[in-house]
Amino acid sequence: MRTFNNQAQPDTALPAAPRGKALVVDDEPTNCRLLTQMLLREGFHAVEAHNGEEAIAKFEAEHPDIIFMDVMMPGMDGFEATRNIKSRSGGEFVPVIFLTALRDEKSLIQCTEAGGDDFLSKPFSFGILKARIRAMERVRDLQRAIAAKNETLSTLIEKDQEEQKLAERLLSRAVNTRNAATGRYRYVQRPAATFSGDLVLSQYLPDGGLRILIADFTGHGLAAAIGAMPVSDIFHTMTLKGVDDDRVLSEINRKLYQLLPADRFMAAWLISISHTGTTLRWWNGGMPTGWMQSRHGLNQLESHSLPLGIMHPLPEQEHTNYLQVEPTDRLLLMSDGLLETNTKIDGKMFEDAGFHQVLDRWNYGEPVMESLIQALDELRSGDPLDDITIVEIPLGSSGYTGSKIPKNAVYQSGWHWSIELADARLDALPSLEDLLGPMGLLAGLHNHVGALQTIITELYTNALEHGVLQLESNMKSTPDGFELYYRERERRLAVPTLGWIRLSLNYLPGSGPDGSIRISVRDSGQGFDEQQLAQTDASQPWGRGMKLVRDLCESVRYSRGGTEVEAIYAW
Amino acid sequence: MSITRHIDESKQQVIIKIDGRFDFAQHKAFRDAYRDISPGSKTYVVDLSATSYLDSSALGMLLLLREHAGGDASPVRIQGCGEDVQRVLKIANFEKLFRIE
Repeated sequence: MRTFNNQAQPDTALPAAPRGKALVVDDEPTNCRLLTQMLLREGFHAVEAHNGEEAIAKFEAEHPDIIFMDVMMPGMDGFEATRNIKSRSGGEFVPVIFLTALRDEKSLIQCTEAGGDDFLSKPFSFGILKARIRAMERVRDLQRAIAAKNETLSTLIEKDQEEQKLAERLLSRAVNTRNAATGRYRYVQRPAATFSGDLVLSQYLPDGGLRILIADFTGHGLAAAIGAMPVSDIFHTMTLKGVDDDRVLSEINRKLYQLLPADRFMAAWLISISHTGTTLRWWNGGMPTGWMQSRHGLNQLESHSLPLGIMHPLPEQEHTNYLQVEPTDRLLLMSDGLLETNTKIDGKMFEDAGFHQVLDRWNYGEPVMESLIQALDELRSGDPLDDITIVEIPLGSSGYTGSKIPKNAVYQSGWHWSIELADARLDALPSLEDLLGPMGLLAGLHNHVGALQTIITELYTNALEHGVLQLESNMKSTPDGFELYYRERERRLAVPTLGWIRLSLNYLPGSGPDGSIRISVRDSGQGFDEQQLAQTDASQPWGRGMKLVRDLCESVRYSRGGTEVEAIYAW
Repeated sequence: MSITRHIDESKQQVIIKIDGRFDFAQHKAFRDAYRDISPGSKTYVVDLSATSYLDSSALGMLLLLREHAGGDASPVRIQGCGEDVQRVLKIANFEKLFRIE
């Protein structure tokens, strides 16, 4: 009968599984050999060193997986050698076990302080040592697994951030650059993630009215923002064509219903202000109550419809509401991220802690945005958890009704205007509003600003991407290529770009039925074959920009070997 | 925070009760509460009497349950809503999709 003795497990005759390389450091050859023999039986490959200097050299040359360190040795002792080795091992964990004849407390503490991971006092039993080795190996394996996972994780995070940035760029290009009349209203957006699931779109109607869409997708971040692309396309295209509110809503609803999974949807405001600034059409599907400050006080514009993308078709009764307004009235709209912001006051939400006080102090005819943001920043605790969007719209602002320049002068006198952007300035062409608005050159042309902005943006983009940067459109024929195209664009823009683009606008009164504008864009590139451009077919994922320009313009003509294009927009 | 369910076989009804915050963190537990029940076979009661807060992803989850229960003519009732919960459901106009009691 066997006795119970955990330590006394017989050594198996079979060689154990390989366990890596051990470095044995001891100035006593007998000790060295004994330990080496034991380690060999345990499945280690063993290397010996007989003093501190040698230990460091072997560590560098052999890359051991575990080290057994004697303390007292001639020359460099075990403490010094261990400190040295630990400073050389970098991020990798190589356990050092001290085997020492010293037994006093101070020396043992010194072992740990020198960077040792464990210690055993000589003489020791092999059984105990084996158990200690097992424990050390477990720690080491854990360290290695964590290090490997960390590496994978940081690569993934980096990749994810890069993709988020790219997507953000694509989206803001596709979504925000098309917005018209951004100077007519104020809005503040604070995204909770890299980019927002909230959306603000604005576009002129053909009759000079202004339409604004404010939306909040379920959740936030990339997933929420993807839906923004089709919504923006539908909104701008249909608004420029003068399609009525209900049909725009119905089309956006249809598209989202088709695209989004059942648990995703888009709460939205659709606001249309007539060109006189005296009629307001509003529709609220799932957004918080909006506030209209009028001569008679505050009006609440409550949510009266389901958000978009849940039910198709939209129920009949959920049509747009009408309001007669005055040009001095103001509209304040927001996403739920504002109202649900946590505050310092008993953890209450902003809606219950400060929002209504701001409304109470809001005087007729005055802006409210500043005091709202101020109250929010004073009260909020921590960063926002959800996207925040606040929009304030003065219903009849200057430049909208009536202009300082007499009407006759606008229609009967022409103007010529041009700008040349070069090198690092090529990346961003300011909006038409910003360029021409302050000089009063857009007076009387508000009906056409949206279309002109589209034409100029497309022509300018073409000149930049194909002319100056010499990117090939057909890169965009696959989804990967699309990404690659914009990545390449960013790369080429980041290195100092040498080149220029000249944009000229020539207003010719009375040259069409009413008037026309000649748009000319010239670049410093090498030009291209315009025949190739003409062959673009509708199924390709690129080349739509030029088609759009041709649709909007009376004529489009290339010259100077494709480095100059002239488009005539007439009305 | 917890989600419990009770199946009333005699009424062919599933009662799902949400304690605490009903938000994205409950996604899995909420789905688990009905995914093993064959689609369209039972009616549902979502008991929000112990729910302190509801966010838009919770609205999304309710829509998923509605779809599971049979889509447009779905028999999903929501009951016991407190003031804050009611506010969110009202803004979203969910009374057009669910019977809210």
